[in-house]
Amino acid sequence: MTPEQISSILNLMVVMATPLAFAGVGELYAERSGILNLGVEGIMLMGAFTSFYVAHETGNLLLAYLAGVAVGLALGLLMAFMSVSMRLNQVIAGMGIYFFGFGLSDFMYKTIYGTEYASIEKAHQIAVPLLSKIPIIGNAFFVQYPSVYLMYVLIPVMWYLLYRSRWGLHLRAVGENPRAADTLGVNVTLIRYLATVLGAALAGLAGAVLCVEITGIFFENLTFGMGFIAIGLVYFGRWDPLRMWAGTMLFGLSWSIAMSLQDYFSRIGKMHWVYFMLMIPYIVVLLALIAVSRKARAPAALSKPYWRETSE
Amino acid sequence: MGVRIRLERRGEVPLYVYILAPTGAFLLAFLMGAFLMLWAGASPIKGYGAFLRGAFGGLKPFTNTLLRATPFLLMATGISLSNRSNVLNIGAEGQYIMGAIAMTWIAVLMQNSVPGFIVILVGVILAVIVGALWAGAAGYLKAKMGINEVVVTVMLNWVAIMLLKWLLRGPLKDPRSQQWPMSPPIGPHLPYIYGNLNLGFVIAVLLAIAIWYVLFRTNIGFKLRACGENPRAARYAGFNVEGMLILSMLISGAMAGMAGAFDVIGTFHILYEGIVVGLGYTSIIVALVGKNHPLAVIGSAIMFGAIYNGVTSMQSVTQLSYTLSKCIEGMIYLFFLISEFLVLYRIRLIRGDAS
Repeated sequence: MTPEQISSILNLMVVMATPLAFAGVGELYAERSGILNLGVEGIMLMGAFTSFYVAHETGNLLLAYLAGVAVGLALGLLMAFMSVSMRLNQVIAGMGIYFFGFGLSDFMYKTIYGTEYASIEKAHQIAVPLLSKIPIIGNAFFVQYPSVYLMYVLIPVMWYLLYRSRWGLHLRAVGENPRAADTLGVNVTLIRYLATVLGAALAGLAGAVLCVEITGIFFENLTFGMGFIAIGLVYFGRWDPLRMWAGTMLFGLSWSIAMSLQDYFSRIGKMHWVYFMLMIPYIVVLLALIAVSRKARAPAALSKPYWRETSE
Repeated sequence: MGVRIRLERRGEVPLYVYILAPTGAFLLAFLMGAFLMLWAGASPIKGYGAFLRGAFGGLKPFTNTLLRATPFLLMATGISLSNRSNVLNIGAEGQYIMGAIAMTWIAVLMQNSVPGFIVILVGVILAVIVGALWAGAAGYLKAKMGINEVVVTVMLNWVAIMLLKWLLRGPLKDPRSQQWPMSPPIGPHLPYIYGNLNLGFVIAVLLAIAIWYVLFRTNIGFKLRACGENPRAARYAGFNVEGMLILSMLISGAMAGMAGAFDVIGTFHILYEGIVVGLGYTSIIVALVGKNHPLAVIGSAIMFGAIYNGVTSMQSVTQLSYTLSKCIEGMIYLFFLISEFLVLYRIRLIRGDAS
């Protein structure tokens, strides 16, 4: 393998890891506060469609990213209302968000664009001065899309907030023992709302990233299960943002290798093997989950609604 | 001080509320569907008119509705069973695909040398086994290692989808079809009852009744429900909670695998990528609406069959995308949840700081 090939595989790894990292760290915050949001995939799909629509109509990519975040916020509010205020079964409520986002994004796309081929001008990769000149690594990590640079900053910041800030302490307390946190004057409802809505907004952003930077088009189910993979990677990372981040890179790498083999298979005239290779990333996630299962311990209050009045 | 919102559990709930609340949820979802149609520039009256004619307007449309209901009924019955032991099978989609693949593979291999009914028998049995293993793996990982079954089953769905795409372009490809990835046509088919409706529907109804009987009238069914409702107490009673969980997933997957096989030999007579339209996901909603009760699931499956069948004929009249059915079912799901909540709780506004 030439250095250029290694560099391009690593570059694609980072690109594929970015939406997963946004959705994953958002889900991690929600779960740390005790809310299991299984609707990530639906929120990503809605974020992807909305950002596609805005980019297609206005040509302004910044607006497109923001539209994805806004849709995520709205669906996050719905999820928080159902799971925190109404105290519904979170698995069932999250699946509801998934179905809703899956159906609505596809219906709106087909209604607006029909069968015509619609595409947007994708965001461009930007080279960082100096850093991009480093051999292999420079091209892989520092000639990247805007959201990748945001990820480089956001994940460490989210880690810091979770473990070193007062708010992060409250968040973790609410997820472990809401009654004790409540007794100490922490507003359980508010924190769960904030964490769920923040997480969903990041999932919306992840959807926008998929559309605006990776595909440039919208199609049914374009998330390829990434929302659920993000939930799996939170488990793989044992609810720690940095370990979860490593998991997104692992998935990104397996995906990137599978896609890089595409050229090879088309050269030898056996294109169908590409699909065989695309099974591998999902199997990698499964094996990763099995590998950490003995050590993983979920937040104690995860997916348990909190009632102040009764002692359950 | 302001106003606080307080939830109170209702005491006795009159029976009619249990009927009115879900009906309201359905009506609300269809009302929202009407707004979506208006937004898309179609007339809701014309649209729903075509919908009703397509779903119930006569014997032929109605048998089509029952045909559409068959995979929902099989998968939702299985999902209800696994829900009862407190494990959520999101993977019916993948198990359905694996069942369809198994059936097609057997048919392609044997249909030129063996009588049709043997092909069907062997194919369906293999589909049931493959489906059961596909779901059982997730059940095993949940029971023995505590890995979230939702994530595992969704990953397995995608593995199944990629496997299907690979097979249709490689080993199972029809050599005569140059462009579209599809299998050779499959000759053996299930016996027809009326029009397109085949024996599959009858088998699905019988299986739903059988599973209802097992769940509510036998010892093993009681154990399965006990393990789901209160695993701790069940463990004290000496029940094998993990075993029940795996067993319920095995059965759930077997039903989905059978649904895939039945669709190949009863409806499509060919294997192509178009079978992946999310029927497995819809079946989760069918099970929810049927309240995880196999007999109620029969009614709910027919209702969703009607929605799918109706939306198809709506599509030909109004040019709306068939994915409208996906929106409507998503809304049915959400409104259904909210109605359940309103049945169980009363919302009260309390003035001042009364805590």
